[in-house]
Amino acid sequence: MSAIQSAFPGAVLESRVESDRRLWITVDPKRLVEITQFLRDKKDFDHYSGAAGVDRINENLFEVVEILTSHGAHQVVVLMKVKVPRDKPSVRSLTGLYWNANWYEREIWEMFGINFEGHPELYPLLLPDELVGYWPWRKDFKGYPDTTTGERAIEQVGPDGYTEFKIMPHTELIKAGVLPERPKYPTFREREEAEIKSDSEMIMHMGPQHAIVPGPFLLDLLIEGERVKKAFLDVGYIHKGIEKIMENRTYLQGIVYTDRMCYLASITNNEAYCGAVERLLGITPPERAQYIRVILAELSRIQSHLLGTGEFLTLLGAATYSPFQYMIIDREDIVYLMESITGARITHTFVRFGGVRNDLPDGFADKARPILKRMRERTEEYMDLLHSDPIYTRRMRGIGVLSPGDARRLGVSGPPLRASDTPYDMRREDPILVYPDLDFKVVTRKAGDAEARVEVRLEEILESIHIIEQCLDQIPDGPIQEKLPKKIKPEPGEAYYRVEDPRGEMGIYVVSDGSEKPYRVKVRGPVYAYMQALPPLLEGAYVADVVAIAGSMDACTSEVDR
Amino acid sequence: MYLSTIIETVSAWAAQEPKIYALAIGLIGAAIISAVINIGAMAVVWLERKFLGDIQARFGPNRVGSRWGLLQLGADAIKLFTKEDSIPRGADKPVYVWAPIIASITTMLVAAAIPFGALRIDGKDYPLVVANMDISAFYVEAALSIMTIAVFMAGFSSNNKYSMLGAFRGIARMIAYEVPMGVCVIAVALMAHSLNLVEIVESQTLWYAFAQPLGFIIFTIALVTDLGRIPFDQSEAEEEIIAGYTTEYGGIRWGLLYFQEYINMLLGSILLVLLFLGGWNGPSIPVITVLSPMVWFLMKVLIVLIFLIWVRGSLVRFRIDQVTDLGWKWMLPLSLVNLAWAAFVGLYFA
Amino acid sequence: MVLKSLKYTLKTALTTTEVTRLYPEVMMELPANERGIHELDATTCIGCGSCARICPNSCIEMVPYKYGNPLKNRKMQFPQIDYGRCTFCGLCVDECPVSCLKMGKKTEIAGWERKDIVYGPDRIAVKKFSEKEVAELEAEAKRQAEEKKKAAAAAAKEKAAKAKGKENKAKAKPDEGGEA
Repeated sequence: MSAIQSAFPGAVLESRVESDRRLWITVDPKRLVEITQFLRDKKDFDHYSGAAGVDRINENLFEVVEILTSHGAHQVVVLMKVKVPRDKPSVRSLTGLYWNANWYEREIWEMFGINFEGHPELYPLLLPDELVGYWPWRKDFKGYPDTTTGERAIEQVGPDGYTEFKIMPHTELIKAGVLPERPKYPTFREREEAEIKSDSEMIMHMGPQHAIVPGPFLLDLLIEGERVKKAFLDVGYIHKGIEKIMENRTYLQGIVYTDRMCYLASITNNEAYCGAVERLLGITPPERAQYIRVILAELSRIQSHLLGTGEFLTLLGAATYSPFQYMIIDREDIVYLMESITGARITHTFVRFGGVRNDLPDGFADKARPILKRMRERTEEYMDLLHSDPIYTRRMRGIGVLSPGDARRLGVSGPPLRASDTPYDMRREDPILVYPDLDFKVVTRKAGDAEARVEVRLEEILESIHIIEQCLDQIPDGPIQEKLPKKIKPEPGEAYYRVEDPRGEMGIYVVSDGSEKPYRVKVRGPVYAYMQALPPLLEGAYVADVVAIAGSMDACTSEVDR
Repeated sequence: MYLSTIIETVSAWAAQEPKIYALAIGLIGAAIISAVINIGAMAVVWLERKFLGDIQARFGPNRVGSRWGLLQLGADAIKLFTKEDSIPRGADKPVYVWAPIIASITTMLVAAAIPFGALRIDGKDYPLVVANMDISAFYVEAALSIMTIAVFMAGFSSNNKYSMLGAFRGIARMIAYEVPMGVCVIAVALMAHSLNLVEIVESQTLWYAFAQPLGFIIFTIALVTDLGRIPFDQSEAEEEIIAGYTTEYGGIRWGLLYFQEYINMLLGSILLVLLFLGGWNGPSIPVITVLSPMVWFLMKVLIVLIFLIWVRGSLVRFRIDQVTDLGWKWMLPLSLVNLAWAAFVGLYFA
Repeated sequence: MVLKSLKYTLKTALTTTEVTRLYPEVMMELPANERGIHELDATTCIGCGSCARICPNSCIEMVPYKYGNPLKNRKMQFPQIDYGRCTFCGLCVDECPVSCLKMGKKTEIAGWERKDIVYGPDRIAVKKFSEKEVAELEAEAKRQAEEKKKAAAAAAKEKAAKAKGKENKAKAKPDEGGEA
C-alpha cells in the first residue's frame, strides 16, 4: 500500500514507512499543492486532520507537518513535511483543497510566523490582537513585552519563593526595531461590522461568558429578527500554552499537562500522549495494563457522554429539566468507580509509559457489574424518554443538519460525523491496545441532525458498557508496568498516535531530539474541528436553535485552546 | 347564630349607606387582599422550590427557618433589599422604573375581582370577594392581559438586546394566547348564563371540566403560556437570552417582577379552579362546616399548583415560532369549536 | 407523548430519596486510593529530593526539620509542599525511592493567606520520632561519625606509614643498589 503511494511525481525528498498505517514523507515546498491534490483525488485522502509547525532552530528551518487521513477508504495516515528556511518562511496554503485547513494554518501563522500564501483570512486565532507578531512558539522567544511600555517581561524568582514577571529595561532594543514588524489586518470587531448590511440587522453577542456552558468562546450572531444570518466565532480565551510548557518539562511531568487539556475525558488524553512516547521508546505495555487502560477509557467515555448530553438538555429546558439531574446522579456512580481505581475524580494522571500507575482494587469487578447493569437500564430509559417526547423532537429534528458530504468536508469527527452516516471511529480505524480483541459496533445514524447526535452518544454509552463487561471477563493477571530506565530519553524521532476521545479523533504528535524533554508536542483535538465547523452550520437558524446546535456538538473549549 | 346576626346588621347598614359601605369594603378588602396574595405567593414559591427539589431527587431549601426552609423567601427578600439600585445608562428611566410597578398594579386589579373562597353560613355560601362585579370573569381576563404591557415596558426600556428579544417574545406569546383564553371563558359563561365568577361557581353542579373537556384543556395550556411557565417561558429563557426581559433588573426591582410572576401563578390557578373545577363546591365537612368550602377550594388550588410545578420540572421549552404556531393555528380554531359545543350543550341541557 | 416525561418525573418524585450530600454534617466516603493531602513518614525519609525534582509545578521544597532520622537523612531535609500549587498528580509519590511519601484521604485545605497553605514537614508528617528518640539517634549518628573519623584517621595513618615504609625501602634500595 505505502509502496504504491511513493510512485508519484518525483518531488519526494525523503520518506519513511513506519508501519502499514503510517507514512512519513518530506516534500519539496513548491510541489506541495500538486502532491496533496493527487493524494486527495486519486488516493482517497479526503480528511485533513491537522497541521503542526516545528521550529528546527539548529538547522535553521521551519517544518510544517500536514496530516492527511481518509474517511474509511483505507487506514493509512500520511504525515507530509515541508521544510522552509527560517528567515522568510512561506508555504502555499491548502485551503483551496481542504476547507478545514483554515484554522490550523492560522494557528501556525500566529505562533511561528510562517506565512501561508493564498489563505483567505490570515487573522489571529488564539492570541489577542496586541500579541501577534512576537511568534511565541519559536525556540528563541524570550517573553512578551509589556504592551504599555513596550519592554519585555522576564520570569524571576522573587524573595518569597514565588515567580514574578519583571520587566527588564530593553527599551533601546525595542526602539532599534529588533521586534518584528506586526502585520496589519482588520480587527475582529471591524470584520463583524463590515457584514452588517441593513438597519434591521443587529449583532447579538453570546459572548465569552455565556450559558452554553462548556467554556468561554466568543459567538457573535448577526441576526435579523430571530433568524441568524451569519455567525462569528473566536476562541483563545482559555489558551494556556500547554504545548510550549510541555517543551520545558520532562516526559513524565508532561502527563500532568495532558490531563488538563480536556478535563472531562482525561484518560484518553493521557493515553494519546503516553502512546506516542511509547512508540518513540519502542515498548508496548503488558496485557493487563492494556485492559485496565481500555476499561478506564470506556468509563471515561460514559461519564463524558452523560455530562455532555445532560448539559445540553439544560440548554433546552433550563436547569429544571429533570433528566439532566438524573444523568448527573448516574454519573456520580461512574466517577466513583474511577475514583476507586485512580484516586481522583477528573484529572487522573493515571496512564504511564509502559503501563498504568496502580492496579485495580480488590473486588472491583463485583462493585462494577451492578453499577453497569443499572447504567444500562437507565440509559435505555433516557433514550426512550427523549425519543417519545414530542416537544423535544420538535425542537431537535431537522435542526443543524450535517449532510455526510458536508461533515467530511468540514472535518468534524466523532459523534457528529457518525450521526451523518459515516462509520469513522478511531477504535476501528487505528486500533490500539486490545481493541481488536473486543467486539463492539460503531454507532451511526442517518439523519445528521441534532437529535441524531444525541442518540449516537446515548447509544455509545451502551456500547461502552458492553466493552467494559467484556474486559472484566477477559482481563488476565500479570504485571502492570514495564520496566523502564530512570530517565526517559527516547531516540531522536517522531511519533503520531491517535485515540478515540469521546468527542472525536484526538491525535498527539511528539518530536524528540534525544534529550529528556520533548522537542515539540502538538495536540490535534477533535473540538477544534467542531468549532471551525460551527459558523456555517448556524446560518439560517433561529436564535433558539443556535443553542441546540452548539450544544449538540458537545464542545469542550479547553481542548480547542489548549 | 352569632354569625348570622352579624351578617344581618351589616346588610342593614349597607342598605342604608351604600356609598360608605362600598368604600369601607374597598379599603379593608384591599388591605386584606394584598396580605393574602402576598403571603399566598410566598407559600407558592416555597412549594415550587420544595416540590421541584423532590422531582429532582434533592432537598429544596432546608436551612433557613427549620428543616423545611420556611423562611427562605424572607432571607432572599432581605438579600434583594440590600442590593445596589442601579439603572443602566441609556435606559428609559420612567418606563424602566414603572414596569415592575405596573406589574404589581395588574395583580392587584385582578385580585380585586376574584373570590377567594367562601364561608358556609347556615347552608348558604358567602363568597369572599372584594368587588363582586357582574362581569368579573371578563374583567379578570382583561386585567390579566395588562401584564403584557408591563413585560414590554421592562424589556424595551432596558437598552439591551437580550431584553428586547425577550420583550418581543413575551408580547408574541401573550397575545397569541389571550384570544383562546377569552373564548374559553365566554364558552363557560354561556353555559353558566352569567359572567359573574361567583354565579359561575354556583351553577356548577357538574364541573365544567367534564362538560367542556376541550375547553378545559385549551384553557389550561393557555394559562400555562400566559403565566410564562415552562414549557412556554421563552421570554426569559436563560440560555439564549440570559434573563430575557428582566436582564437589566437587579435588587428589589427584579424581586418585584419575579414575585409578580408567582402571584399571577396563584391567581391563574384560582381562576382555573373557579371556572372549570367547581370552585368551592363540595360536600360539607362535619366539624368545620363554616370553613368547608375553603377546604375544598384550597385543595383544588393546591392540586392545580402542583400540576403547574410538575410540568415545569418535566418538559423542555418550545421555540417561539412553535409557540405562536400552536396558538394561532391550533388553539384558536379549537376554542371556537369549543364555543360551538358549549352553545349546543348549553342550549339543550340547561 | 409528554405524558411519559411527566410520569417519569412523578415516579422519581414519589419514590427516590434525596441524593444531596449532607456536607458538612456527613462527610463523603473516599476510596482507599484517594489522592488527598500527603502523608510523610519522617522515620524513613532519606532526603534525596526526588519528589522535589519531579514535581511538575515546583511545589515541593526541601526544608530542615528536627524529628527525622539523622542516620538515614544526612542533611536532615524533608519535603515542604505548597498546596496552592499542588495538582495532586501523585508523581512525587511514585518517584520516592523508599516509599515514605503517600497521599491520604484528607482533602480539605483552606487558609486565610497563601502562606497558611504551605504545609511544612511538621504538618504532613504522620510518623516521626519523639524528642528522646531523635536525641538518641543523633547521639548514635555522632558516635558513628566519630568512629568513621577514627577509622579514617587510622586508615590515613596506615597509608602514611605504608608510604613511608615504601620510601624507606626505596631509600634503602638505592643504598643497597649503591652498595652492590
